[in-house]
Amino acid sequence: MSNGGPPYPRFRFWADHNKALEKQKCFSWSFHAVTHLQLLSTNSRRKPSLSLPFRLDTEAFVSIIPEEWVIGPYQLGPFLKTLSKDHIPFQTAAGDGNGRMAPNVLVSFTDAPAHTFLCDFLISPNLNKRGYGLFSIRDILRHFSIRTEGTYFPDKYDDPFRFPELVLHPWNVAEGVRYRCSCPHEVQGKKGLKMRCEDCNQEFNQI
Amino acid sequence: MNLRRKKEEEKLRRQKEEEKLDRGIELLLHRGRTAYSNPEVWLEFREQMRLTVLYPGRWVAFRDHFEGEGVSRRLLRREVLRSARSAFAVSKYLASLPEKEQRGVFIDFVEPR
Repeated sequence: MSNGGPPYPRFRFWADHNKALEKQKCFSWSFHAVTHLQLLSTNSRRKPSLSLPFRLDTEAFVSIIPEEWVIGPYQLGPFLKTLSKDHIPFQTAAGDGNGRMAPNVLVSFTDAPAHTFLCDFLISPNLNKRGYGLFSIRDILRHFSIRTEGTYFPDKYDDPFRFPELVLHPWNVAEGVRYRCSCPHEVQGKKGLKMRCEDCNQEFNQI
Repeated sequence: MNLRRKKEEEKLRRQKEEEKLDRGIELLLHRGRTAYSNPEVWLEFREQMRLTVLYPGRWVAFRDHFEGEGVSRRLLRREVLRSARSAFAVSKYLASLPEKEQRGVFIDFVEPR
């Protein structure tokens, strides 16, 4: 019954129940978006890193990795080509900190390993003990367009019941040609496709 | 004999877990199965609550099983593969699976209540 591996990387939304919010008669759920990355090495003999959980942070000016991942059991050191000597300050939605930069790290999403890209990471002790890194919107928009699959549905008590997913489509993929019919529905596919929409019975035209 | 006993124990463990899930939803949200006239809606909501109720304060590796596509996609079952206090332990477990089995598995931390 499993849907198997999706072809594109994605963020999934999760809800956390918060008693403090409930006590204040607020909407008692908070949401966060999660994905998983693997760091890759240019050395073909080295396996990818373990799957690393990341949360989307639209405030983080770059993506951030906990320092304990570099020096602790995850052993990410070999995947970071260079590490800056200077510490630079940063700000996220959850607070401030500082850390060193590891530029141009080769990365893929665990559930879509075919899509590799370069990502700059800030290595910071401020994220230690959290267990997850922060993925910046900068690194999404540089490499991917964002689409939504599904929608948010609360149940009749306004509790979260169904969530959409953010699906990331790489820019400049070989099949990245868009077509539109007169409805208008839009689809993406290889160049030169002949398709007809079953709703309007018109051919899709490349746009 | 041992295998049969293990299967029975596993069946009992799952049954207790499902009962714990129902009780946990009742305690958290003060409602249960009877609050939903549509059993499919209740079952989907119940699966959404599985991690929140059963694994607070833990890292969990799980795989979702869906039916349908797009807006009508419905969560049928949230299969928990491994839980642990550290993200590293769960990540290491995920890495031990064949690559094909790693697809579609998510790891997340369930906030403590």
